[in-house]
Amino acid sequence: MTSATYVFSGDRVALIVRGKTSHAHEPDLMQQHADCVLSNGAPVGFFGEGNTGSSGGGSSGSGASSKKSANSSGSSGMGLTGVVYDFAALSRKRAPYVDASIAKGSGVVSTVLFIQVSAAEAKAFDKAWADMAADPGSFQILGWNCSSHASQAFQKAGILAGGIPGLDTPNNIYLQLCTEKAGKVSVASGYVGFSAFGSGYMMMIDTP
Amino acid sequence: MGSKVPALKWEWPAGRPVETKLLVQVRSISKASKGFLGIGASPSFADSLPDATDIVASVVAGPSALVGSTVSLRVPGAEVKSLVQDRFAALGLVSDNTICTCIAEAPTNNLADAQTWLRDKACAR
Repeated sequence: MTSATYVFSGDRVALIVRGKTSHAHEPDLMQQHADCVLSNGAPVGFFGEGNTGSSGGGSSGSGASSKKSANSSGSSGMGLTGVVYDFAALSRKRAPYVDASIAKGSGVVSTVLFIQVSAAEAKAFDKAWADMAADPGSFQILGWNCSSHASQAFQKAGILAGGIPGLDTPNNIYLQLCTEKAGKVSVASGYVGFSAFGSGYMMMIDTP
Repeated sequence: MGSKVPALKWEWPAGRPVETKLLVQVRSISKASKGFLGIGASPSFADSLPDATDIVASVVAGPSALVGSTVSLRVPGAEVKSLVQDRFAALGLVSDNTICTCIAEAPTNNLADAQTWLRDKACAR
């Protein structure tokens, strides 16, 4: 296994497709999730709370780590409460996304798409996610999901000009970025982790 | 007679020390349903867990108010690979006993030895 570290110095952001094992791999529809990485290396992602079938009980949301909006319902994946998870919340709720050793133990492989951006784009991207965290709105598995929100942030930052071609899926926004930002992207796949570094985070990827 | 403990939620520890430890006897282990068309397993749902596995267990040692209770929780499959039905295990709880951050198989099926293990070694971080 090889290991590589990546520092974010304000000139790049990233899209992470969970469940995507390589650039060429196309994960099943319900096996993929999209997170992003801010210009300081901080991981962030949009999720839906309130789907039935969970074991229920005990809320872990607290402070600034995870903010949510009202209205949640049903097992259909529609009309759920939207919530943005930062590193602290991901560490509790989705540790395989931020701890490479836990990712390896859980078999959670991710593909990271690094995107070179200008300082203005980076600032706008970070702000888009901060605005989303403050008021996440609802989550709909069809059309207003993790990839939809990632797309919103990329569009508000001027990194992408329009919405996701076809269905809003993590892999589709991945392909869109690869096409529209050709020459400004690079890819790495493996077990992804983050650690505090400077005023942000450093990413580590262990390649199986 | 113990009452049914409110359903526990699983979270990873994220540096939080265990507040309460329970010794349980595992009653059932089963893969969680993925719902219609697998929608329930989407990793974009906050409550989804990798290789989600449902555990039901009886509390045999711990805070007196909980002994005799039945607990149920959904955990990542990687956390319960070595768990065996009818054997003892430890649960480590935080947040007023609502969140489980540790589940570990006891090294013995002797109740007294398992209680000692629970007190001295189980879910220690």
